[in-house]
Amino acid sequence: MVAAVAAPWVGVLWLTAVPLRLLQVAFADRLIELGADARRYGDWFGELSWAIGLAFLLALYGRAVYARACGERYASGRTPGWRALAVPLGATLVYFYVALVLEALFVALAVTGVAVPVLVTLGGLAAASLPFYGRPGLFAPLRTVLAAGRAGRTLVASIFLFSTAFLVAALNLLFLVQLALLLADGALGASLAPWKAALGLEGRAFLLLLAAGAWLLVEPYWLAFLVVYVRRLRGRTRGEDLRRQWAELQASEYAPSA
Amino acid sequence: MPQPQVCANHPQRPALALCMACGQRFCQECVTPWEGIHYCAPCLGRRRAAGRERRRVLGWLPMLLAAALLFVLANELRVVVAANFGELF
Repeated sequence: MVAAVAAPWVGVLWLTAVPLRLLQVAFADRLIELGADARRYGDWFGELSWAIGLAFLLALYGRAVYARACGERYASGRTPGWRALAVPLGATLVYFYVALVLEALFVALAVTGVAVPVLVTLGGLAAASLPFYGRPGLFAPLRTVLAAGRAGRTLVASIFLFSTAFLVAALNLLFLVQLALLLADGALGASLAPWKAALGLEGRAFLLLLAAGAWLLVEPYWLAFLVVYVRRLRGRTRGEDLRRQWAELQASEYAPSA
Repeated sequence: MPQPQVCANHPQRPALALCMACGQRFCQECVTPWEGIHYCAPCLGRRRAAGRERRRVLGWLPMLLAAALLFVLANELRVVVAANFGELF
């Protein structure tokens, strides 16, 4: 599915997510660098936090568009057109609300570590559940997202699967960068020394950028998985899965033989 | 001798009720009591649509207000976490 919707929808997802990831990298890098002195730079962190908040809203729109494109591809079997850009305003506002609830919880609970994969998964489910938000409200949209999480074992397995994919992607990016440095070293020699220091395992900002890049690579597959997961889960309760299987059987039964 | 009142929809039937919105007279079948007051079908439809519109707006307002507050809260929480980073780690 990701290959079918890659152009241009993965591009939309990445373009809207890149500002957020870069700002998050800048925030984390400066925070680690300053440590306990960070409290003296409250104004700088405050301005950057508001920029992250605005970039977060842009990234939410990109996710909504990509999730809609994946959903249309899954439902119709055809590559979605530019209509996927026109996400319904009402459902998108409800999605923004749910995502902001999860973002506030994430910022408050990220230090615990355990909450991170749970909240990240719920954030993805929120995007995948976009077509299924009913009436607006404070609790009904949250119940819609939590209902999508009832196949707990599948979601826990997906957390392990995509965490592994994330690590593999990060390692691949690291090797790619080292290979590029190695090849450039042959041509440029000693002038690459500062780059080797900055783009190695000792470079804090480089490692954070590596993590951001790895997440950008994994995110399209992860979101596509969640879109299909939510649709199949809902389909099982409404018989849509049986209708789909029947349509597939009919198509294979009456397909012209070679 | 005064003429007997007839239903606005059915002239052959006597009028038994008054629509409190438009003031016209109707037979028993053409009015519906709603919250204890009789209305004809078009007036009842308008009142119910107005009620749905109020509920729809009222349904959005708390959610949008909560979203705006959460946006501000998340931004401020990031700064709080940053300020206390040294104590946390």
